[in-house]
Amino acid sequence: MADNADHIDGDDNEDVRAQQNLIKIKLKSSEGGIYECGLTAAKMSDLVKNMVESLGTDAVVTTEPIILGNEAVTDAALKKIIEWVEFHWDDPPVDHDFEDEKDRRNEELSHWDKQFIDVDDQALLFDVIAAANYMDIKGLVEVGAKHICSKIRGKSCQEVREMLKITNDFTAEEEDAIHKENAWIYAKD
Amino acid sequence: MNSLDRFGDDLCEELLSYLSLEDKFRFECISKQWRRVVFESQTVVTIDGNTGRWFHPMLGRVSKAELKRKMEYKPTIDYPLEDTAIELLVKYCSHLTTIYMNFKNISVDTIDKFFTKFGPKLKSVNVFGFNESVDQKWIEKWLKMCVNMQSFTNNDRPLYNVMIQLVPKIPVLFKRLNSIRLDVHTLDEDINGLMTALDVFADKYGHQMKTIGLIVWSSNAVIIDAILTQLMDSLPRMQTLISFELSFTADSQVSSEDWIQLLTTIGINCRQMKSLDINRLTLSNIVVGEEPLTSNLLQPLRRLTHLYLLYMT
Repeated sequence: MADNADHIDGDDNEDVRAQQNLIKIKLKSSEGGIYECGLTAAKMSDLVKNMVESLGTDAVVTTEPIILGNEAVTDAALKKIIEWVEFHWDDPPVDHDFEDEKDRRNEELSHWDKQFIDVDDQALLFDVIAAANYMDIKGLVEVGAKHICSKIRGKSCQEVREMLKITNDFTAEEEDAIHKENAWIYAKD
Repeated sequence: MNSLDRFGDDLCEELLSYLSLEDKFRFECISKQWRRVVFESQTVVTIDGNTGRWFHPMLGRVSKAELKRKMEYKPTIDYPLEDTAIELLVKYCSHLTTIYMNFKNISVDTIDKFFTKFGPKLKSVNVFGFNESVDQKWIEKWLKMCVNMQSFTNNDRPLYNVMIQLVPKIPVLFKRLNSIRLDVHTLDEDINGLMTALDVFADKYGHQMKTIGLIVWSSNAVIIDAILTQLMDSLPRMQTLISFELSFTADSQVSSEDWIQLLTTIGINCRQMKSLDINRLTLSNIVVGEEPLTSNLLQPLRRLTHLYLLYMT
């Protein structure tokens, strides 16, 4: 009755992933730099995954570099991204039956991720996030988002604008109106 | 390129989605882009009326006094304080899909507005209760609005009663329902209501159910017996179940034959099962004795990853 129900994806699958990661593919940044990356790791990017799968055979994949044309994919950003996927490719898969969206969102970043994403050069940080978004690496975008949110937590609006170099495009009247409506929040300290 | 302004609305919304709701209110005035996107991603709300600072999980450190200040700018509101918060949710957060809420201090009008706006959008409904004065007709109306609900959890009696009556009355009201966790507050006299509901439930929802939890607040042998009998009958119709929880009170008596029969039923029928949780509600007087588990009992459950068996007789 339950033939296919008894089929279990287990260790075999993990072995295949490890095997595949020994295959190195080449990724090319928008600045022209070419970098090697394990196949399983690179496939954490949905963009790369789709490109590889449309190319078909491993032979093609390992010779020709995959071109990442978005301007955010600089040499420095791509190197960071490869570092991240090479560290995370063997993370245990998410069990959607039990993983609660709310819990996952509230979960703190791991020590490794915190150190990884805490870069002084804000242009590089934003490049990494924009490139991860372009390459469709959801986990890395989440790391960047959590990092930014934790940096601005509890700050004043002006401090946040200065930190993140945001232009205030409200007129004085508009800003006043919002302030008035939300005065209860600012007034509490 | 070191300015956050470089990001489009979609990415900006994703980045800001990890802010607390409190920060979202505070940062609304940073720029027009932030104002556009900052509330878009608010999909989960937790309000627990049992804690002293009922607003705490939602707005961080906001106290009642501070909320009063907000109210001063909205002089027309004459509801109790708690209603203001719900009004804010209705005003700002258009995409709520998940609620963990206690409506005990909220007026009928406000709850009605809340469900009118969010009911059809809600995927996960976890309600700790309504005020005792709220008529069950209202609760039925609100529950009926949650047609896209996938997951339902109740904690109090009125909501339990409404759910039990609704299931047989409108059998496929919740097309997407696949997870239900019921606090069972059944009295002797209406045990048949529960039996009927479980039976209809197995028929109409059995093929899609992933999670069932029954927390039985009764040590009455008749009730326990009826529930176990009904489960033996219903579980074979729920072959997609991946998680099952059954809790009885500490003083309830269940024979080891009954346990073996229940576990065997699960073992034979629910091959997808990943989590099995059978326990007493208090752990004070667990007697670990003659263990009803045998290796071939659960052997068919090859996918099991979570096992809690705290109810040994």
